[in-house]
Amino acid sequence: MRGWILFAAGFAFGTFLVQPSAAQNKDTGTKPDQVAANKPVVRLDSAFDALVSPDAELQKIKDGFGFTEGITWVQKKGNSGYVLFSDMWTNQIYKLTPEGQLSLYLDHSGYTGFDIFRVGMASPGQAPNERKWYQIGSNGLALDRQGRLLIATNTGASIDRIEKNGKRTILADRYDGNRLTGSNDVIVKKDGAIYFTAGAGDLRAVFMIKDGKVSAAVKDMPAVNGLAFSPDEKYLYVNASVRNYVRRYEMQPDDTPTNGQMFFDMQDNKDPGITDGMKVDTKGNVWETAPGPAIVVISPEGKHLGTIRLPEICANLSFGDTDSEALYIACRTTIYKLRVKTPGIRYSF
Amino acid sequence: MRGFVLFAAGVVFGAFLVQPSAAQDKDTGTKPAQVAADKLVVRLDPAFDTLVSPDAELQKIKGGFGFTEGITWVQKGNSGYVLFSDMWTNQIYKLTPEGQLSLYLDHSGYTGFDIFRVGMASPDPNPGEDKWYEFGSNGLALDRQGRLVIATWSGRSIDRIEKNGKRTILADRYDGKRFGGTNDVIVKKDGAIYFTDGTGGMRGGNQDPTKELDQRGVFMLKDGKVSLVVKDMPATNGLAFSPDEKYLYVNASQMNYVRRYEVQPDDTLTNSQMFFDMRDDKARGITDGMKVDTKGNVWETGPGPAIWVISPEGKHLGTLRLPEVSANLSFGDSDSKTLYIDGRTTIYKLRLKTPGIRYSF
Repeated sequence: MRGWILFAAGFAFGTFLVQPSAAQNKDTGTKPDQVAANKPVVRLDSAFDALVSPDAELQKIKDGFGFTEGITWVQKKGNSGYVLFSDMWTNQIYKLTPEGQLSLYLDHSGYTGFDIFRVGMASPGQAPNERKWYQIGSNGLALDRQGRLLIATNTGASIDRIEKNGKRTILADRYDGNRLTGSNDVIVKKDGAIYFTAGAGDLRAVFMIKDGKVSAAVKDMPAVNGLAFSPDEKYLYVNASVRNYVRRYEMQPDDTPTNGQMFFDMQDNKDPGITDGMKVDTKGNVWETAPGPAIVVISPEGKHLGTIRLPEICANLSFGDTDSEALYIACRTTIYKLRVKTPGIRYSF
Repeated sequence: MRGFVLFAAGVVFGAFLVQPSAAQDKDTGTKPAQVAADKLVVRLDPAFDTLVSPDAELQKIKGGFGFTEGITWVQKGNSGYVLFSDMWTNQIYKLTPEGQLSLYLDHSGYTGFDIFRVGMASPDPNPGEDKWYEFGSNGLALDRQGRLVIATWSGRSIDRIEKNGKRTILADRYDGKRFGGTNDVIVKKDGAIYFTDGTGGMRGGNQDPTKELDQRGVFMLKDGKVSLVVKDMPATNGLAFSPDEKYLYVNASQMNYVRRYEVQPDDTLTNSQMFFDMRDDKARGITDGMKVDTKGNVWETGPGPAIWVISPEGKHLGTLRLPEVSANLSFGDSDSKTLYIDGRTTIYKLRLKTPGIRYSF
């Protein structure tokens, strides 16, 4: 079924625009002044001061995007690096340096069919009277231990890998005979096992790819989204998406999760924002997108230590910079950065 | 401003789907059975019988597209194919008469990354569906060297694909101001390029903050210079020459009429006249695209939805009734006696008894 012939695409992007016009930037809903006026960092526990300075500032790196997701730091030799992230409205993965230099990393990153107008979940437009737009692009991204990019292709309904030679491999697109529907997030365990959230038939689950086989690893959540491991990989955290809670599972030696428990519950908070993406720092604190919109920081014991308030809803985040002490945040239209005082778990070397 | 760096696009399209599923085909609104049941060819003048058989059949080549435009026959030896834009997907496709589809050009219209900000809204033909946006390329033409010339619509330019595959922007401004939505393009034998421009390439149309040019009309690109050659039409769309290139026909888009201009030796136009007026017909379809046959008859998309065939004297000879609104058409096949039709979601073909003007050799 998949065999589209490409024969004249390579020359198309010569005129790709670097950035939207100033007039367009105005419409993104981002209000940097507001961010500055109200300090983003809200401490709830004194331990939070060791994680982020109360005066830390949210730095806007670049805006003008549609619906950003899957932000992932890529470390390069020396002191440099960049983030990759998906724009689900444009079906592309971008590369963005900390200095704000933007380029295209991967076109058609999610849905690879030609009839893009038929696919994708609707999401509301950015302006009040704007029509909804569709999430046709890729979603969560991760690097494996070899530095290869893994893509939850969302509307592409697969988990893909970009090989070192640029080739794209479909690692999983079915479970138990059913096509996957909307792969959402993906992470890689140190031993190479890949975990991703998706639907397949009526099942919403965390799936595992190990030894070329796809199995359902977590089946007791009605909605699933972002994934993260504790630093020692003894625990897997799973976000409940719009349900606004996080569950924690113990990892068994054979890589299957067990003993699911409620880790943190925000179901009572009706502010905009959901338990979408999360990352864990080296001390085991969970940095979690949440209602507010905000990032909430939760200790390994499940205590809410503090909150980073955001000017727009954030879908995902990544620790980055060479010391891993910066938070890169994918906030719908804008990529932000915030320096922190503790390093996050590194996935790129 | 234009300098986006591409470095990993080549790997992507291996998994590009060849065709939509059967279930998707069902939703296109195309009803081939209906075409057969209702009479396709409507003769209004006996002369129409010499152009198309009363029993001619509309053949569906491929469905499943969004909003097709700019269909153009490309002759290759004894065979050939059509190229056409899909304005909803920002691509130009290649389709053989046998229905084999492949991608010809990605990002054919708007080449920026923020595709969700641009293009005119157009309603989805299926009830209950959201509208979609036209951000891809629009009209296409071949020049005498066989190079594809593209009205890029939301790209707001006229581009050319060189023989080596490189893409050249031929024109993106008039009088220092950016175009707002290049719609159709044709090439005269002497190399002069004529194209129409409006405001449809921009999300906000006439009110869009990025609008620069107030003048709609027909523009001419000659010797590297852009000039305004038609300014007495409030809306413009498809373009075509008479066989001898003494006349230029200009469609008035949703205003539903066609004007005719005399082409002067210096390629400028004069003596503007109403050629054919369909303003009283309130059926669906507009004066969008047109082509001319070797006898000078004008084959014109129009209300119905239909293709109207009009003699050089302006007489309505007959009509081809279509199952969906058509934006453009092209004569094709090696004898140029087939009409290839952009029917929004579907490419159709219909055999004729008379050849159209050839643009591909």
